[in-house]
Amino acid sequence: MKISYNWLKETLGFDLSPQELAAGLAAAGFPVESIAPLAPEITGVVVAELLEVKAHPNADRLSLTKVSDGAAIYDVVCGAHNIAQGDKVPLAKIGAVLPGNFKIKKSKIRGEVSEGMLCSADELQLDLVQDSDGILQLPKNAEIGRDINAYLALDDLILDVELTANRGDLLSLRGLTTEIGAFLGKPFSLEGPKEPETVDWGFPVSIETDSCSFYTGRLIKGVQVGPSPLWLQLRLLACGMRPVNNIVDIANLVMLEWGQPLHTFDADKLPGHEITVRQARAGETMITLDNKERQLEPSMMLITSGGRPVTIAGVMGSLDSEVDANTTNIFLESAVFDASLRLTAKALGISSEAGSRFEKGVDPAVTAIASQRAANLIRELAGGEIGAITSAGTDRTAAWSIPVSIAKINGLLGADIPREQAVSFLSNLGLKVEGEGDSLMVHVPGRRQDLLSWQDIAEEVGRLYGFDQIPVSLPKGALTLGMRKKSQSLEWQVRELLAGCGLHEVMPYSFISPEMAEKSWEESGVEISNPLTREASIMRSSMLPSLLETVAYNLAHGQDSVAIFEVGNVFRPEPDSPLPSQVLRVAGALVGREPRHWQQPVVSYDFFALKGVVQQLLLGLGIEAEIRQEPHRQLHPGRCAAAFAGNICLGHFGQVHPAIVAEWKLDAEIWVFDLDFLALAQNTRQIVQFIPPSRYPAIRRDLALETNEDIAAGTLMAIIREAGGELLEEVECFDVYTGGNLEPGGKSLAFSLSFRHPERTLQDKEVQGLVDKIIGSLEEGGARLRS
Amino acid sequence: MEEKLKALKEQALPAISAAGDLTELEEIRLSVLGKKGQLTNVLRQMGSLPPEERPLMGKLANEVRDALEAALAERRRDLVREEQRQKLAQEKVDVTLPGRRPPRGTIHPLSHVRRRIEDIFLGMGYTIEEGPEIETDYYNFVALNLPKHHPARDMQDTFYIDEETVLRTHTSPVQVRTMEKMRPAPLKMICPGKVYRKDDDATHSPMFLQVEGLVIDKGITLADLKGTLLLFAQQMFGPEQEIRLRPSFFPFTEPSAEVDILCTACGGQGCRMCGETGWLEILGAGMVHPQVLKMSGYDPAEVSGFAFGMGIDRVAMLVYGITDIRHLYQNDLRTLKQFQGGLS
Ligand SMILES: [Zn+2]
Repeated sequence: MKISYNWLKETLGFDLSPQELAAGLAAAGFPVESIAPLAPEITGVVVAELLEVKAHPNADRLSLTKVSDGAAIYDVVCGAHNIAQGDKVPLAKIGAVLPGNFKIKKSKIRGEVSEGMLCSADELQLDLVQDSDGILQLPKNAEIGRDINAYLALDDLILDVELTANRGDLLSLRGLTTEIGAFLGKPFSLEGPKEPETVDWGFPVSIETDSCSFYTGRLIKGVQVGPSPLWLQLRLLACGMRPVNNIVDIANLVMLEWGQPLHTFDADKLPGHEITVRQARAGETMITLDNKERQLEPSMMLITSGGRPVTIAGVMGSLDSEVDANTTNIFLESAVFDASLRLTAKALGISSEAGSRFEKGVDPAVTAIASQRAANLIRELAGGEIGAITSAGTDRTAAWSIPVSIAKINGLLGADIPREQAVSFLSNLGLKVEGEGDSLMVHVPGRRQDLLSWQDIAEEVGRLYGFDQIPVSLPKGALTLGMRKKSQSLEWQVRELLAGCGLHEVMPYSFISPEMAEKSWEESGVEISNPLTREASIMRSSMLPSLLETVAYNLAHGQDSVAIFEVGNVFRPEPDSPLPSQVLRVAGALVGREPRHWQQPVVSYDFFALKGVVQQLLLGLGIEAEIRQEPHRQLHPGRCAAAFAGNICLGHFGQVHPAIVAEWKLDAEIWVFDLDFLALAQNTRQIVQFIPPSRYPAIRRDLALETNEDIAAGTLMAIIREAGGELLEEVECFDVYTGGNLEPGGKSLAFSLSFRHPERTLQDKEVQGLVDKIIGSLEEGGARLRS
Repeated sequence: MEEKLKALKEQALPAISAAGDLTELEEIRLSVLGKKGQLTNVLRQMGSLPPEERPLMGKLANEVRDALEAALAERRRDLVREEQRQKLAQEKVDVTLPGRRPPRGTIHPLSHVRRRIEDIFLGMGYTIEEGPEIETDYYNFVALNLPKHHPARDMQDTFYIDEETVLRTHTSPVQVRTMEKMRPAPLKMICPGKVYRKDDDATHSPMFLQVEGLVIDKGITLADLKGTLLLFAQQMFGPEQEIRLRPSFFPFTEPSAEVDILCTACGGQGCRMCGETGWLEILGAGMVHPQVLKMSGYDPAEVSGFAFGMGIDRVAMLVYGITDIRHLYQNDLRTLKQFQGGLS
């Protein structure tokens, strides 16, 4: 909320500097976002009186004037026509500096000397409304010779105070002065207006909706619409509002003073001699002030007259009931609408000062006061006769009382605030406090609709006491165990292991674009109904699009190799459940080559680099897994596998299908793995069953086998293990060879076998027997010993 | 004979020290002390001496032998040392060439910071809780005292899946779920995780990481909240840290506060980063609203609690001096590779 510093200062009579005031407001919970000057810097401009105005001898459009600042008389050439002898005007004397660093010098204009310049509002950069274009007309009683800054209070500052959503009461001078007064220890209450003399013309109002609790109106006849006096215009400017005309300006000023939004109609344009507040009917329309035809919904509250809508209540008036320059009779509305108008304003895309106040709650106790204050000002500044107020509904607020004890307050704050101090804090805020001893009864006025529970009262005491005065302690409950759950520890272990394999952890957005999903051959994800952009509109259903995007980004930014991993959630629609499914995945990608080393040839990432990472991860987690050829729709059919722990698939890995890579317009072999974190966590071996190392020597045998290329190494290993039995301690495949002098379609594999007995030394004969058995089984399996 | 022994010693000693390598030294040893060597030759003449001179001569001969053997040993030691020195000199490598190490990746800066924050609260006896990122409107808003159409919902611009389903705007729904599970037992938890808000600029990312904390027990006070957050700030940002609580408003806490720490750039002197105030806002906190306690099955007359929440991104930006949040989600390897090592 923007508010004039001078207005606060005059009203409360404090001597705080703007910075001190801002610091105090911040400590109370309302930081001041900015302190801006009302007007740009102006020097050397004073109030002057026009002594003489005559035509310029050499130019029709110019006048020669003599002006006085009380000390001297100056000859000034002027181009404006709205000046006459006796006017009080701003004179920029020689040496004056106007906004935009415009310096005034002595000059000759068409042969006549000019010792300064008479200023318009524009030249002073003031956004004022005037009768005519030209020189700014100051009031006739303005004291000549006074500096214009001092006279117009242009040195005022606009404070932009950041209010919290619960404190609608602070959207007014009344609320802010009460709050600041309480913090200064000087309770303050804004004084109400005098009761106006009224005429009873009768103008029935009625309410036919629950969303309006109180409606008042009054006719004011014979007003003259025109610009507001300068003081009013400047005050509005100092509160960040633009002046319009006296009627609108008065309504705005009173809203700023009391927090009660007002609306004015041209009474002669109202279709009937009555007002009814009701919900809109299906099919009704209205053209609003901004000249747009609005479709009205039954959820919207209307002010109607003669059966026709004249305002969307609290949101915007109709074009054809607006006060204009020719209006003479007005109908002044002051009413309480409930927060439902927030949805109306949102639906119509209209935000207004009035709307934001109704949303946060208006105090019905000031509805009539604001009407009176506005009526008085209208009579004073626009003339006219004031009609009696007519009303419907009630201004009675359900005033409530909150019982609380000092012990409870101190118990919640952890402080030791004495009773007297707590009570004086609350009374300074304008709350009535009763009660004996430790118990208090706090009576909450209608303006503090945020105070509902004793905890709210404790907060008020704490705020005024100062949060920085509250001591520091730690919770005193029973000792608790602070430890990660197993899966939480594993998550970090996964990160360490993968970083140890040379992969860098990434954290892409969970949302992807429909295009990313499509070119990754994704199944349907969960769609966001109001995405920020189309690029981020689907919650991903797998890790692949994110990995591919990260790879593409880094290849496009000069990396020749990418090795990344991510631990993150993927989402799938779940028709029979309130929420989509959420599955934590561990995924990664390798592209390019391994880091180069001067001792070694360059090694490109391939299936076995990828498998190595997966194996390293599984080993590190203590998972015994079997790697099997296993197709996956997004992977290369010949270069993909899955890891199994028993029957449970832990996830897939392999080369991204080249057709997908082509859709991404990339030219690289991309190797990815995508594992199910929960499956990993459920299959880790935490406890190792220790076997003492054998004291007896091992016997080693190498086998060189020749076989058909279609037979997998893993199959042969399984045969060897099976036939070797318990005494076969280790099998290692140490060479693979194709081509050369082998038959086409054949390959050669070399295995190293190690046999050991736990309790005695093995005999050569026994080992030979086992080797023969293994060779026999291998032959059945399609492999033979190389000669 | 005495002359001969002396002469032998005089001759042999310079020859021994002049020996250039071990082979030459061995030749000298054989020619002097060997079975057919010069000393043996001289001793053969012992028989021709009168018996009374023999012991004296024998003693002299032993002295010569000892002296020669000592000289031989010393020279051998020197030669061995020299030979080794030369061999080692030839084996020298350029230690500045890169080592053959397994490749080393990195853990994301946000993970480093998240882990550090977790560790601090684990040390204070908190558990870590998790929950869904796509949440029901009830858990994300209603159960936190934010009924439908509450104006404070505007404080968090929300992504919707449908009327009743949202991308969680904070990790508070995890708190509600945990409260429902644990009631009426005391509770001490943090919930880190991804959250989503419709915001995108240098300091706001539409997805970001948050950690919230919640303690519920008998007699929990605002002073306890202050003490806990002070301890956290000092562990995270340094032992000199101070915190400042400013009153604020959140629908789920009462009282509510914004919490500042001393500016990490200027230490409280005031600088451009902190807008000359000396303070930086890092989290929101407060005493759990009685309505929130009630909705999750706790009796506000029996227990009270505090809650706090902060952006892990915000902490990471301060710790690492990152000024644009988007660097954290760009996944540029040139950025990520900088984060070797941990945070402790
Ligand atoms: Zn600073």
